[in-house]
Amino acid sequence: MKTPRILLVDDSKATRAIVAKMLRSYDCEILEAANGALGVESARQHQPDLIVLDMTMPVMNGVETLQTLQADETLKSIPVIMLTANSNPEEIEQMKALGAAEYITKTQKPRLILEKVIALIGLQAKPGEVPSEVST
Amino acid sequence: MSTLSPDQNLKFFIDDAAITVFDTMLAIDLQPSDRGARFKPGVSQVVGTVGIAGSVTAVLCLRVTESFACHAATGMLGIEPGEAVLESDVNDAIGELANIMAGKLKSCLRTPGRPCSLSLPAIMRGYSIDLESMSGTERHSFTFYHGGEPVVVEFYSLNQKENML
Repeated sequence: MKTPRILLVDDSKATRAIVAKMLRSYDCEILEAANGALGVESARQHQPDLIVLDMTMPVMNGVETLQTLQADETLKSIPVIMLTANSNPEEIEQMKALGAAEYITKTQKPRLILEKVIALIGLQAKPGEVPSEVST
Repeated sequence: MSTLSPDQNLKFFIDDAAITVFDTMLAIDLQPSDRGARFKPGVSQVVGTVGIAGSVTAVLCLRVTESFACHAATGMLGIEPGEAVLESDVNDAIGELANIMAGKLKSCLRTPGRPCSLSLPAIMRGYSIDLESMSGTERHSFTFYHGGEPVVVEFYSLNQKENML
């Protein structure tokens, strides 16, 4: 069975590191990109199974990136989780209307984020590893 | 209707934002303090700033010592003890903490239905950084401590108290 690929697109190396750490007990390949433009390029090259996408980024922000992904026939079926510092109901609705599968705020507990990732792509724990009660 | 004054609301929101963000991102327990910030003279500080524009117009500053900033970067990036911490990693960590706090505050203070955006974070470093509010701007400062280290959140907002109700 193919190892799921997860692409983390966030200009903050620290946030990418936290999300990657959260997923390290699970059987998946992590790819990283520091802005939306690099994220789209990486998605085209690697065809990830899931994209975790920050909202506020330089070069190409999360909304522009999501629109670019949705406009690309080869990428539009990849589920996208928006990861953001904001939690306005209007923004959540906007992201869902643009095609985001889920919306996570950075202040949510990592366990909740992980649950959403697992629900979307069904991650399995690595053999011999007990997934920790995720903490940063 | 809120029974709190605008300043009390702001304190509540900033306490909540700071405590939640440091707990979630770093598993650090911040304690609010009324005794004010006591940065030792000659100790380098790192200040992360994020602008909020729209139905709320403000700047949030997160001020910590450089050693605390390094500790935060180490925790967020999973850097092993003794491993070098790059200045860019420290900037990234403090900028991101300020960004997430500003995002949470924006959600609390904004007017529903009206747009409000965050700027990208910026970082200042120095030994004695004085930030002053301009005419028409209110300055609010909130101090927290963790292990004897001060963590200060400063909030500069346009004088529009109705935004904070």
